[in-house]
Amino acid sequence: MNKLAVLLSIVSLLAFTSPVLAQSQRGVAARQAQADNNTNRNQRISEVLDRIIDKATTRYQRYEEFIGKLESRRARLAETGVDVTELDNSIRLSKSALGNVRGTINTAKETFANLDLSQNPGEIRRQVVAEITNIRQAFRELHRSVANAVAIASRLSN
Amino acid sequence: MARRSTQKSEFNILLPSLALSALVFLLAIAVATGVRQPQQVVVSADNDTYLSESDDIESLENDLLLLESDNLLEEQTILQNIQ
Repeated sequence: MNKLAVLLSIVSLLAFTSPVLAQSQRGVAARQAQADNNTNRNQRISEVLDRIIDKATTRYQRYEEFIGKLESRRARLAETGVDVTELDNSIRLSKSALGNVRGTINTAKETFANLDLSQNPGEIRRQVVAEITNIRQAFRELHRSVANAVAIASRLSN
Repeated sequence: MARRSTQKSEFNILLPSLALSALVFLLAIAVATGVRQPQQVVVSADNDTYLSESDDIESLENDLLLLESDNLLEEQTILQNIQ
């Protein structure tokens, strides 16, 4: 009789604990899947941000090269006796704008590196968009200034 | 037996022509394959050497357009990436 009581106790204990254990295992699996998803998502975000910085750096280098060509043009004009003061000022402004672009890229790079990817996606997006807007604005100013320098060089060349 | 011998001599006469035809055929395939190979891309969006080497005004103006196009393209790409 005692044996039967023990057996019944064990069976009832198993009957109660099995669903709890199964649920617990499902919970662990779900948490693992969620962690994997987060890791993949963070990796994708990091890749996109790295690409943004790389592309911006390449564009920066192209403008740097372009300003070098403007300086070369300026030297040729000066050799022919043309007054290049206005062009000098314009090139100086272009170089300053170029430095500003470099600054915004560096700031964005630092912000992206320190970005807490576990936070709310809306907040991540807000910070990323803010940095991209700064870079875009700096490039627009740089482009305006080099376009102005080219217009001056064109006028002096005629 | 005589017919077989005639066929063999005809084959021997035709053999150089057949070999030449095969060679020409193989050459034609080689040329066609060579032509179909993709040409190397000289200018790409990621290449930082697309600016011309000249500092002539016309080159500067053309390069300015390329830079502006590149900016617009890049802005569009970024917008698509972050949406």
